[in-house]
Amino acid sequence: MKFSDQNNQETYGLDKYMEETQKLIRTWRDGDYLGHYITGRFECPTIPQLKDVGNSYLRCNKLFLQCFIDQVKFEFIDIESIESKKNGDVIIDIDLGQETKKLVLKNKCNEVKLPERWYGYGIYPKKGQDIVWNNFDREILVDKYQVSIYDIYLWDESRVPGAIKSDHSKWHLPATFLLQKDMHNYCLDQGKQVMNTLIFDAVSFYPINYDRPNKTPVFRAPNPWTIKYRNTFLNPQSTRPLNKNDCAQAYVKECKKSFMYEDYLKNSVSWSGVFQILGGEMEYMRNPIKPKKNLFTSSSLFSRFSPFHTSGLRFYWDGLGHGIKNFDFLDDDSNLKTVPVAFRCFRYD
Amino acid sequence: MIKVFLFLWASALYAQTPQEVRHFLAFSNSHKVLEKDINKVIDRPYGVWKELIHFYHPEKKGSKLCLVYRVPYKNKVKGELSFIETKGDCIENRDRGWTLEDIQNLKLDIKSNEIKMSYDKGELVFKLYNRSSSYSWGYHPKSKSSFKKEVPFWDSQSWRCKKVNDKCEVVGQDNCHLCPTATYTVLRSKCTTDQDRYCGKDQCGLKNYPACIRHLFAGNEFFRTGCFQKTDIGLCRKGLETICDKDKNVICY
Repeated sequence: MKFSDQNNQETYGLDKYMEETQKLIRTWRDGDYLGHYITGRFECPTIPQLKDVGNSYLRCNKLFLQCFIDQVKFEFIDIESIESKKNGDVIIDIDLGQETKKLVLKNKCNEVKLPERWYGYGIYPKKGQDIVWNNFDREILVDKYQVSIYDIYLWDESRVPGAIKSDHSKWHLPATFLLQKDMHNYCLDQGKQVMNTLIFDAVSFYPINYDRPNKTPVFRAPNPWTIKYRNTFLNPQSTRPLNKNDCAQAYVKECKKSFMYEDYLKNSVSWSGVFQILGGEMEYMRNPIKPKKNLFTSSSLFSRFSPFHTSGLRFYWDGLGHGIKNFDFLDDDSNLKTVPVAFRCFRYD
Repeated sequence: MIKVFLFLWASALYAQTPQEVRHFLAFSNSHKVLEKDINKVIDRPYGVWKELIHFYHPEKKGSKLCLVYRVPYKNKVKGELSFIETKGDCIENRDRGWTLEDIQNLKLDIKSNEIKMSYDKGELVFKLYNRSSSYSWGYHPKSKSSFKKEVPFWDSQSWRCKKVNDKCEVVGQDNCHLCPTATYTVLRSKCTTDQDRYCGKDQCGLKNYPACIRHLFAGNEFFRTGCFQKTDIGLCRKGLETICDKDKNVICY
C-alpha cells in the first residue's frame, strides 16, 4: 500500500503517484524528454543510438518505455505488466495495493493532420484540366513516417525476415519486404488505409499559395520543402556538390558514399510535417486516378539527376513479389536481387 | 531483460480486438459449452461473471478463447460480454479481452451449425458450417437491419456502419467503433457535414466502387438534389465518371 492513513500524507502520496504516472505518459508521448538517453545515463540495448534515429523514434515506442521503466526507480507505483496491442497501443497495469489501475497509452504520436485546403493531383498540368480536391471539414490523419520493421514486428512477428528479426539496430528502418496485400492488411489492422496518391501529393507538393488555402487554381512546387526547385541539388542544372543537408532532405544514390541514412530519417520533413518523401526507399501507394501508377520511385536506388525523383511521377509495381519482373520500369541490368518497397498508412477521422 | 521481452511479445499475440477474436474463431475447430441455461434469458446469479463457452484453436495448444458474461442486476450492475484469450483462468483475465457493454437479457441458442447470442440491443452469431475448418461471424444490431444485409454491391468485405439521412441525423446506431478494421466514407446524403460510413478497405475511384470525395461544399448542386450522373462532388479513375447506384450512392463507372 502506497498511501499513509494520515490525510496530509495521503495527499502527498497521491501527488507522487500522479507525478510518477505523468512521467510514464510523458515518456510515451515525448520520448527522451528528460535527456536520460541522449546523455548516456540510460542504456537501452534494443534501441539504436539517439543521434542516429532522433527523438521522434522514441515517442510512442514501447521499447523505449520499457527501458525507461527498467532504469527509473518508482517509489509510489508498482508496474505489474505492460501489454502491447497490434495497433501499437500499450496498456500498463499499475498496482496500487488494494486495486490495479490500467493506464492506456494510445499510439498516436506519429500522425499529422493534413491541413485543410485545396490540393492537386500530380504535377500542375501545362495544359488540360487540373484534378483538384479539398479536405475542408474533413479530418485526414497521415502517418509521419513509413512503416518500420519494428511496427511490423509488433503487428506480426512472423512477417519479419529472420536476419533482421534479431538485429535491433535495424528495427527503426522502413519495412520494405511486404507484399501489397500485406501492406493493406497491416494498415487495415491499425484502423487505417494504405496511403493513396491524392493524399501523398497533398503532403509532398509545396503549395505556392500557402497563405490562401481556399483558393484555386492550386499552384504547387514539385518539392516537399521549398518552392524554389531550381535551387535544389536535384535540379539537373545544379552543379554544386552534395552536402549533408541535401542528403538529410532526400537520400539519393550518391549520398550512400558520404552520409548516413539516419540523418535522412529524422530530417527529411516536408512542408506538411510528413517525413521520408523524396529519396530513401521507394513507396507504394494506391492510385485511385491511375491504378497502374502506384509506386513513387524516388529512392537511394537512383542518382540525384535521375527523373525517378520527380514528384508526381509514378510507375507500376504488381505487388506480388520483389523481383525485377514485378516492376514495369526495371530491367535485368538493374543488378537488384530484391527490390525494396516501403509504405505508410493514413486514416479518415 | 530477455524474459521481459518474451513476455511482452507473447502477450501481444493474444486476441484482444474484434479483429483478433475473429482471427481466432476463423481457425477454431472445437468448442465447449459451459452454460446450462440454453434458449432462455441468463439472469442468475445477479452480478456474477459466468463462463459461457470455450473455443479452441488447433495451433494454440493450452490456450482458449473464453466467452464470459456478467449477469446484470437492475441498474446497479450492467451486463458485459467479453472474449478473452488466455491459458489461465477466464474470469481472472476478463479485463484483457474485447468487451461488449450494456448487455441485457442475454439468451444463448445452440444448434448443430450455429451458436447465437441474442440480447436487447443486438445479437452475435457464430455459424459452424464445417466445425473442423470454417465458421462465419457477424454482429447484427437489432435496431437496424443486420450488417449482412447492409453489405454493398461493390465489396462483400465491407458493410455500412453509419447511415446519415438528409437532415444529418444518424439513422439507427453508429456502429463504426465496432468495425474490425478501418472505415471509409461514401457520398449519398444531402447532409453537408456528415455522410454514410462503411467498415473495410477504401477502394474509391475504381470502376463500380464509390467515388473519392472531391469536396463537401454546401453550395454544390449535389447537396440540393442528391446524387445525379456526372456530379463533380466525387473523383473517379481516369476515363470513368460518377453515376448513382440504386441507393443513390455516388459510384464510379
